[in-house]
This record gives sequence, C-alpha cells and structure tokens, in this order.
Amino acid sequence: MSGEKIVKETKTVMIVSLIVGFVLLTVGLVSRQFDIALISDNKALLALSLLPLSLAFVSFLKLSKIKKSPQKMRSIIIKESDERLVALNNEADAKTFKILQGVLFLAYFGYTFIFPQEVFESVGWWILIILLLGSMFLQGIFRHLICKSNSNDGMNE
Amino acid sequence: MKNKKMKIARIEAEVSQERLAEIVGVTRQTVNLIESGNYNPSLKLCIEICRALNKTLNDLFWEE
Repeated sequence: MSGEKIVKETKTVMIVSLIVGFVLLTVGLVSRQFDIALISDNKALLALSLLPLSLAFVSFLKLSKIKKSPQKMRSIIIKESDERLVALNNEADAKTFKILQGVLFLAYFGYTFIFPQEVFESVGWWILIILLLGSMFLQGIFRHLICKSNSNDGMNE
Repeated sequence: MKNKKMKIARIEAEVSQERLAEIVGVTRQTVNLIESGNYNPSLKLCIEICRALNKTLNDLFWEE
C-alpha cells in the first residue's frame, strides 16, 4: 500500500466518521431539546455519536503523526503492506468471522426453538436470519467479485 | 529448513536484516523468519530480495 493511499484512506475515514458523529450528536441534542421521541431514550443517540467521533479523533492523530514524521509513515506503510503481517491479519479476520458466524447460527437456532411463536413475526428473528443468510451469501459474492477484479487486473497488465 | 544462502549473500553484501527489510518493504522480523526457514515468502518478495542482494532466484532460493 502506498503512502498516498494510506493518507487518502485515513482522511476518508476521518471525514465520514466526523459527519456520522455530528449527525448523531445533532439529532440527539435537537430531539432532546424539543422532546421529540425518535427512540425510547434520546440519550442513546448522544452515546452512539461518541464512537464515530472517537474514530475521527484517532484518524486525525494518525494523520498528524504521519505529517510530523515521514519516517514513521514509512514504518506504518511497511507494517500495513508486509505480506506476512497481511496474511496473519487475514487469517485472524477469517477465524473471527467463522466464530461470529457460528455464534449467529447458534443464536438463530436457539431463538427459533425457544420462541417458536416469534418465527416470521418478531423483528429480532428477521434480523437474525438476515444476518445469518447475509454472512453465508456475501462471502460467496465477495469471493466472486474479488476473483473477477483480480482477473481483470491480470488482463490489464 | 534454514536459508543459509540468503543469510550469506546478505552478509557478503554488508547489509543488515533491518536495511534489507527496509529495501524490500517488509519488517525486520519477516527477513529473520525467512532466513531461519520459518516463513515461505511469496515469489514477488523473493524477487525483490534477489534484486536487493544482486543475486538470482537460483542463487538464493533453489535447493539442490
């Protein structure tokens, strides 16, 4: 990964998370001020805005660190592009995904067997099945898309 | 299996593991693991190492 790409990616993350954070914060403050009940407790929106705002702050720190010292940027680039570390990260991500998929599978079966009256009825059941099916089908779709983009890259070279 | 050929070539070229890692764009630990035979590098990385040490793939990575 090139230096410019990392800077561009960090800037994008910072801008998007800033926008999301401010939107959540504004909606939370406005709805609290005017007593508009968007959700059961508007305090949740204020709390939720903390997450994207912290992400934006972390991205800002990373960017300022890169600007201050180009040597550090080189070490960041190496850490992000070292094929061994990339492979390790991918393996860890894949294992985490498999575990989460298993948990989702168990949650779906447990929910269906324990609360059969909620099948096709409750929002929770629908969310679980959509997440479970999504985790199964999206994997295949992404594999196909990545294969396609790789073969396109090969043809272009 | 240890990659002694690579280690010898690196020492002959008077390049430290850290410097070689910097040239080929990996961490020092990766170079160390390749030399100790605990990591199989990709062909792309092998070629970059060969270029950095001015050797061929046969010189560094071919086992008789």
